[in-house]
Amino acid sequence: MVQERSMMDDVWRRFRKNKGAVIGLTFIVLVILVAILAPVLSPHDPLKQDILSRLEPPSSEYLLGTDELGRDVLSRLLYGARLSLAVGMSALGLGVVVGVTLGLISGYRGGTIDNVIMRIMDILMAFPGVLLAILIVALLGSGITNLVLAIGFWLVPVFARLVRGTVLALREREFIQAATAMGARDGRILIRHVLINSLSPIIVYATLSIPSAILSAAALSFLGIGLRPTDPEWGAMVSAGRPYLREAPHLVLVPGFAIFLTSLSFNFVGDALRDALDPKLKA
Amino acid sequence: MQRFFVRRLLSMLLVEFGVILLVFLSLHLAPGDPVDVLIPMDVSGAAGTAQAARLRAELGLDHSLPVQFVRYLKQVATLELGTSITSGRPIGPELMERVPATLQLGVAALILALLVGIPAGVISAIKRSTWIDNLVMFFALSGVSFPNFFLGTVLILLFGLVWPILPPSGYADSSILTWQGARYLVLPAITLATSSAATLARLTRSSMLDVLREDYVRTAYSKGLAHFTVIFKHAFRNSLIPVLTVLGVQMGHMLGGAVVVESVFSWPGVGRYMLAGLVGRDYPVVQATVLVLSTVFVGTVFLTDLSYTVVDPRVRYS
Amino acid sequence: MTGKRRVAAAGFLIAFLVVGCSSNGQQANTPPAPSPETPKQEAPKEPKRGGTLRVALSANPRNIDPRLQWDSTSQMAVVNIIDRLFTVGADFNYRPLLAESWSGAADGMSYTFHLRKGATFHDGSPVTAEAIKQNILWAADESHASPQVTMWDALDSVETPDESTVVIKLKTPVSEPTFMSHMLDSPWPISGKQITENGDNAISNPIGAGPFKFVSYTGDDQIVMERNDQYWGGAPLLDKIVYRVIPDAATRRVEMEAGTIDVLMDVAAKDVESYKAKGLTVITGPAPTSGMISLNLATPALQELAVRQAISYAIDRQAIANKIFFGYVTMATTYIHPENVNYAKDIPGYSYDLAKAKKLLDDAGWKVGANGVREKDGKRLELAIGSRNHDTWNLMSQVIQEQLKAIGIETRIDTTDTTAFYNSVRAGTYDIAYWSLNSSGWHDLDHPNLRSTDWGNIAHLAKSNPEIQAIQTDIDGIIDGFNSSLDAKVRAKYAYDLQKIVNENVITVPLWFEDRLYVMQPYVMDVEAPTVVRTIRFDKTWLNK
Repeated sequence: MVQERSMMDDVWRRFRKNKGAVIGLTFIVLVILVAILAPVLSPHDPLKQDILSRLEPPSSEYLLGTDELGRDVLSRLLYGARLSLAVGMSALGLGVVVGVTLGLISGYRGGTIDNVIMRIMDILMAFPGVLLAILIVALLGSGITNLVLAIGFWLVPVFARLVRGTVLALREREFIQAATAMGARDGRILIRHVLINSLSPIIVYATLSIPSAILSAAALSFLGIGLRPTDPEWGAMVSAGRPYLREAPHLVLVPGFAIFLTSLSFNFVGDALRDALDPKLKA
Repeated sequence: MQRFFVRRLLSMLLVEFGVILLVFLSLHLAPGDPVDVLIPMDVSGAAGTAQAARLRAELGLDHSLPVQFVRYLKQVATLELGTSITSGRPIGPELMERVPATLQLGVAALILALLVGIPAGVISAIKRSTWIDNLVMFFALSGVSFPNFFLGTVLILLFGLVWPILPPSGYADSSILTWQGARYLVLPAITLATSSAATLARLTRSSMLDVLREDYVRTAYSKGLAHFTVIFKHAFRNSLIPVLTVLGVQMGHMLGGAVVVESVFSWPGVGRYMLAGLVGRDYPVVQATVLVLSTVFVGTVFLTDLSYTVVDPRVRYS
Repeated sequence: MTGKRRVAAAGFLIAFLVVGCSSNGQQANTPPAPSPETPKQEAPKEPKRGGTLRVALSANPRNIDPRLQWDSTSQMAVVNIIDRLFTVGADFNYRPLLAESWSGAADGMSYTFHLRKGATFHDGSPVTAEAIKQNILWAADESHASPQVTMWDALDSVETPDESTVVIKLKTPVSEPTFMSHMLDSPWPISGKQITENGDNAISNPIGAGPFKFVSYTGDDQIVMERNDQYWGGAPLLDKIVYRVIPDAATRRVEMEAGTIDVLMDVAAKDVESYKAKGLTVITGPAPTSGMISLNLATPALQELAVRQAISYAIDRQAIANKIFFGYVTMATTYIHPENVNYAKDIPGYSYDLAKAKKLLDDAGWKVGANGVREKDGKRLELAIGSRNHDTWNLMSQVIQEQLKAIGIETRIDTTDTTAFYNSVRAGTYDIAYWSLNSSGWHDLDHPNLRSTDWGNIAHLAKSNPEIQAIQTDIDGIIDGFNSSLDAKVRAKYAYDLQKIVNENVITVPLWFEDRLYVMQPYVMDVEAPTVVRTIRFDKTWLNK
């Protein structure tokens, strides 16, 4: 326990040195706070339309202007933090849980099970991602859950392969062999030893996958797939605002930069985490 | 080596079969069928219903799913792509019409990504923790943080309208090798390449850093070899292996996943063909495109694996 | 009727028209919003020859074979290659093309067309009666799975008494307005020689008898056509027309502003003012594109007349028309266009009246409950809005949601792709839906969801409700009466009755008719704005630059 604590300290110390990452982390915390406090911070109801005052430029009443249905862009932006983070994180959660489980089993068991799981992952990888998302949404309808499912499925093979690779490398290591020799059960070995030891690549990759999940959600909204039109998700806001780019550029720029800054922050944090967690870089 | 080939080929076939089954099932399970769009909405009355039944019979959609699947498999086995329900034309020529556009965009974007991404990563690694490294990495991280339809629209606006030096969108009607033709390619290729270039730069950098710490690199230095020689003869070559792995996947996605860029830039590629087929429930078109795209993807990954042997003499398949 | 050249087959329509025509034939039907003047031209110049016209299409044509199309994009793409037998001008008059004259039998059982002599297809073969017959028979052949097959449902036989006379015989009487508007459904014919050579196969190089000859088609990219010097109406002025497929609305807007396209076919109303401000020519005119809210009468709550009426009163049509469509719509009180001869203008419509809507619901027992949503017998007044991925659908579904919320109706928007949406409309798996329908003609009463045999909807799904079934029986009777009647007066009476019954029972909620909008560069001259048909012919067009 003491040793783990000092390792975490070590990682934090190295992470802290990276200024970009610290700024990124601060921004992420800010976005999370905004997401939690959206109802308190929002000056207006994000769904309340007023078609008589649509496409208004920023003013003291509407700090970031109004959108194509006269809704307050600032309020939608704040609520959008909720949806965008929720989409990113849940899709990631799905990808990690399913992918890591499959990867662990596949790598640890080997043989036929490994072969079957990996071929299924190959199929998922070879299947065009857009198509997969469209089919899921076509089958299950629009809405945040189905969007998360669609993007989560993209991530499953990525994590499965990543974890399998790590497990394969670990399997031959002494401490696992020792645990097996001592008669520990598979499940226990998998969780106590294998999973703990492959955590750092998972964490790094997970951090880097959040922005790609958010960007995928945006791309799907562009193609008209996924959320309901009223949902103030950032990607959906960008694509709904794009037809008005000439007369109301703020409709695209505001959520567009929100996506950009959030993704950038996660990428900075992810990169710094990788450096900080990499034992080879310790020296 | 031979056994490796056979095993890889078999597993590729298996994956292809899985893809075919998956696309077939999900297409037929999705709500609506081709006839829903084939009959105009304003054709009404008994005529519409009767016509729908006739069309379904004509298209073989009145058979059970297993029967339809077996039919489709037979067709695939004879390398037939089938006929588009929407246009009534054979899919082969329709697809071939779009393949050059897809290849041009994909290859141009890939070259661009390589030309920018790899040197950026190398420089970043050599100049680690300097302002150069920071700047390169800032751009690299920015590059993977932009929704590409956002980037594309901004580029069109800037270079098509505000400072009109390039056509806003479209496909060259003259040869791609002339400036007249190539200028159509500039903006979409940049848009498609941005995130790949950024990914490659990050990957090359970390891979280079790993290699630079390896013993043999230190040995090379200690033997008194010049800095340049060490970097390019030893470090760079070896750091390419993980880059190659990702490159294969990137290439596959660039060819098949360019649908967003194709839509923004009116680029007549395979992605839009697939999307239109999907929206119109043109089963044969979607099945054929997915078959082709996934084969290209699987093939690229296979070639990437093979190329390891070229880059890394330690890798031998047995 | 005589075989004399008779241009004004739809002459009765003109009486209802008040449209001004500017000097170059462009229709200037200005919407309520004040609009800047179209750029003044210097003294009318002599038309110049030469140049390429670049036209933007918003989607890939579904099919380049004119015999297999039904969508407007495909029709726009081939209409300059394919001359029809006749067309309709912006003035609503029929205008002869390949047919010099035509007449219908008094009993509505046959129609005779006299072809222009000397017209040839682009492959050199003459436009003969036999070629016309081949075209009709090909489209009517069920094995070809042509979407136009229903157009020929009533076809009995085609006779060709001589080289230039075609007699189309029908199994059941069809009134002239209906027949003529069906003939305009899609561009045809193609060369008879080409049909013979290709047999049952679809073609990819349409050979017509129009002012331009097909050169090439690249899917998702462009269609190129060149001047036909042998055109019977005299060679057109343009050298070439290039139709480019530009699927993204934001990109189309930039291309138009950058001047890299000359004609934009699919214009969003919101863009019109800024196009005008930039000096571009905007052409607009009435069109039979009806906007409405479809109601699924199989939904229990919607089987109550009070609920349907309340929905009708809750929609602020004028505000939406002004703010979302920028005035480029024609308001309507019934589901028939005010410029259609069958429009019954004295049947009252529903105007925006929240108090009335609320009172109707209150009286029907729907009391406001938790969260402002109405309830009756423990059931909440909740409806699913069916919608599809489309800018207008997205906007309208959200507006409808907001406006129904004001009277205590809670809605959920289900957005799907187009096919799934069509499917749900046909299967009746939605409650209400915004709907914009390009009707096939001005003369039909047909509507995709009125007849009991219709796919579209609705009443036929409410089998268990005798009240609705009774209305349905009435509607069926009226439409049958209308269709089989050849007397314009009798038809008008049926039309009146139908609009009355539909309005009183709120079978559908008519909103408005979207006007056609086209934008062109100021140097594009002599384009006649089509209104009835969706296609533009460029046979007289020239470039003043």
